[in-house]
Amino acid sequence: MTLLEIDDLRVRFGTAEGPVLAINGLSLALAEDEVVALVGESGCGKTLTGLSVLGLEPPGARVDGRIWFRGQDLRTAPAKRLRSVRGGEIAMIFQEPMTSLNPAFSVGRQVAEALRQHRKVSGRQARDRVMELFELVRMPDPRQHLHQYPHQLSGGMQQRVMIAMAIACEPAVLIADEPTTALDPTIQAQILDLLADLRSRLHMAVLLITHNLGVVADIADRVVVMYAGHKAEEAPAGELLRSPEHPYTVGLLNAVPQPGMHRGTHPLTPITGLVPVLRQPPEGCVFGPRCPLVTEQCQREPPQPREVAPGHLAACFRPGELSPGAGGAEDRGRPAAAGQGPA
Amino acid sequence: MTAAAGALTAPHRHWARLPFAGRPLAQAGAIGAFIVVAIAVFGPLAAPHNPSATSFSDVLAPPLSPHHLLGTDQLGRDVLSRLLYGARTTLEAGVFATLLATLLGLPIGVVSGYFRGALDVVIMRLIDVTLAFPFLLLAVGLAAISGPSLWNAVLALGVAQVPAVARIARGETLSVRELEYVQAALVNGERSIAIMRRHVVPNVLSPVIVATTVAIPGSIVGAAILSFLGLGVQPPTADWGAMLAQSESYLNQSVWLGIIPGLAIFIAALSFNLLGDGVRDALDPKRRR
Repeated sequence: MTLLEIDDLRVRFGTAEGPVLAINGLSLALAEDEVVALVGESGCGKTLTGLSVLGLEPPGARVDGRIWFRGQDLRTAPAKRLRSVRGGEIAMIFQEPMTSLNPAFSVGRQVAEALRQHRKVSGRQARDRVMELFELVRMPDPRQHLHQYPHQLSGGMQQRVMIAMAIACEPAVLIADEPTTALDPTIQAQILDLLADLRSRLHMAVLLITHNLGVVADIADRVVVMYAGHKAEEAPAGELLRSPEHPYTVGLLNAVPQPGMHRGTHPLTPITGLVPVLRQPPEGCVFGPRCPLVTEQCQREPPQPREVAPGHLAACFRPGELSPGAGGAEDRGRPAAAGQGPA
Repeated sequence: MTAAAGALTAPHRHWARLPFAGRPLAQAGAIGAFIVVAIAVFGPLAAPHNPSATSFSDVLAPPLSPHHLLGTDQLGRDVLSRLLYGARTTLEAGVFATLLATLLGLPIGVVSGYFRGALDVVIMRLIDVTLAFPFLLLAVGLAAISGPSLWNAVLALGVAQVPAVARIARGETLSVRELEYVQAALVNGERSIAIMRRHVVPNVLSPVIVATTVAIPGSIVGAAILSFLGLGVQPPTADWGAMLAQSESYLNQSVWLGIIPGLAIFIAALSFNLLGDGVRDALDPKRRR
């Protein structure tokens, strides 16, 4: 059953040089117990999507579209209802655990306050619950961590505290915005494992925002690939990784190193060019200027997401024509500079 | 935190763990400020004479004369006793004016920086107006309305310092509000007022505390100026600024009457200044991390 549905979300910023359409008609649905990964490059609107769901888009943003949650459109919900949804029913964790905790208070107190924001519990009950949560997120010594300050904990521990805080009120939906990006690979694996475990234990739906396709393979049920504010492709995770239809997804997969790949025989293939400047989006398909398959039609009209297989959508006029490993991107003749784009 | 810093530089020497270890100027300031505060608190107990008792047989006695260690003033009052009693009024004026400025300026700055937008613009322009308004005129105005008194001087001095505190608090708030824990609090459904109280104020407090510590000597001197002009403490209450003011007519006969309270003001202001610098260094995140 669908729990959270984003319907035709459009977010626009007015800038001195004219309006910028940061998210353009994004739709996605999250069922109970489901993990949906939202994948895309930096700056393509992933985080903004997460924040818009909670009505926390930055000032100056104009948001259109509907966010259906438990039969109510959150965009038109009263402020009071929205506050009880935030943290109580939809929780969110961020990329940077180091700056996501208030340095002035002990982590135990911060988690307790997150809990007491939505539940009427005594100080003692809150403390017991925090201990329970710390155990749930597998902190080695909950009693001791209770009184520690954020700077006394490692990044991985801080992220565990953030997760404890997010799940304190047993939300139905957890929006995890790149929860492992700032962590070491070993810790990343632990945190992902923890998220997968919590999701099945607490029956949470998870919207996982990431740019890491390895993460997707690990825990996602379904994947939505975003490009420059548009939905490029949506498919069950396994299918997307096996047989991507959109050339952008193919490009992303070709840029992921695989075990056993050798520099000489399997060079990583970058996607040439840069994400378009959203002030002057290209005519037609936004991916057109970087696409090896681009046709005249692509430059004329924007492709809408169409079903190419059951449950598999791609916004492309020539889906499936580019297969992973085919290269293709480099014969565009424009060498891609290393380290391009915002990190 | 200072103890930890001390422990890092010299783990085995106990004295090195004193506050402001390795910063002799800050230590001197702390000691000076401590002495000034101690005099303000206990001075009246140690005073040899009643500070208001006049003795016309004994006017303008030089320092080191019998019974009067620091001499007497034009009314024969014991200068040492007046100095000891005056410490309290002077310090009260300095500390309360700065405290008032903080209590007003901190919330103004935090609200302004947190909400930004039109509210911010309005508040900051009002602050600019306050900044442009001469505080002496304000003090004169208050004195005209309700008569000169220590508390009017404190009020004028406090209001005059609000802009500085509000600006610092606003600047810090602007950076703190962008940090992810503020976002996390919003995501958790907290109200703006709770976010400001729990997440913003505790984290903008340390620069504000530094600014106020540095502002105390300014307030002390300001209070002295107001007393000097007759807008502050009224006779016969002892106050360093008033003592300085009254010494003016007798400077050619007994120069120490001006030098003694002047020196006291100088030492108090210098001590608090050095202490403020020390506090700033100790709370400086660049030194901490």
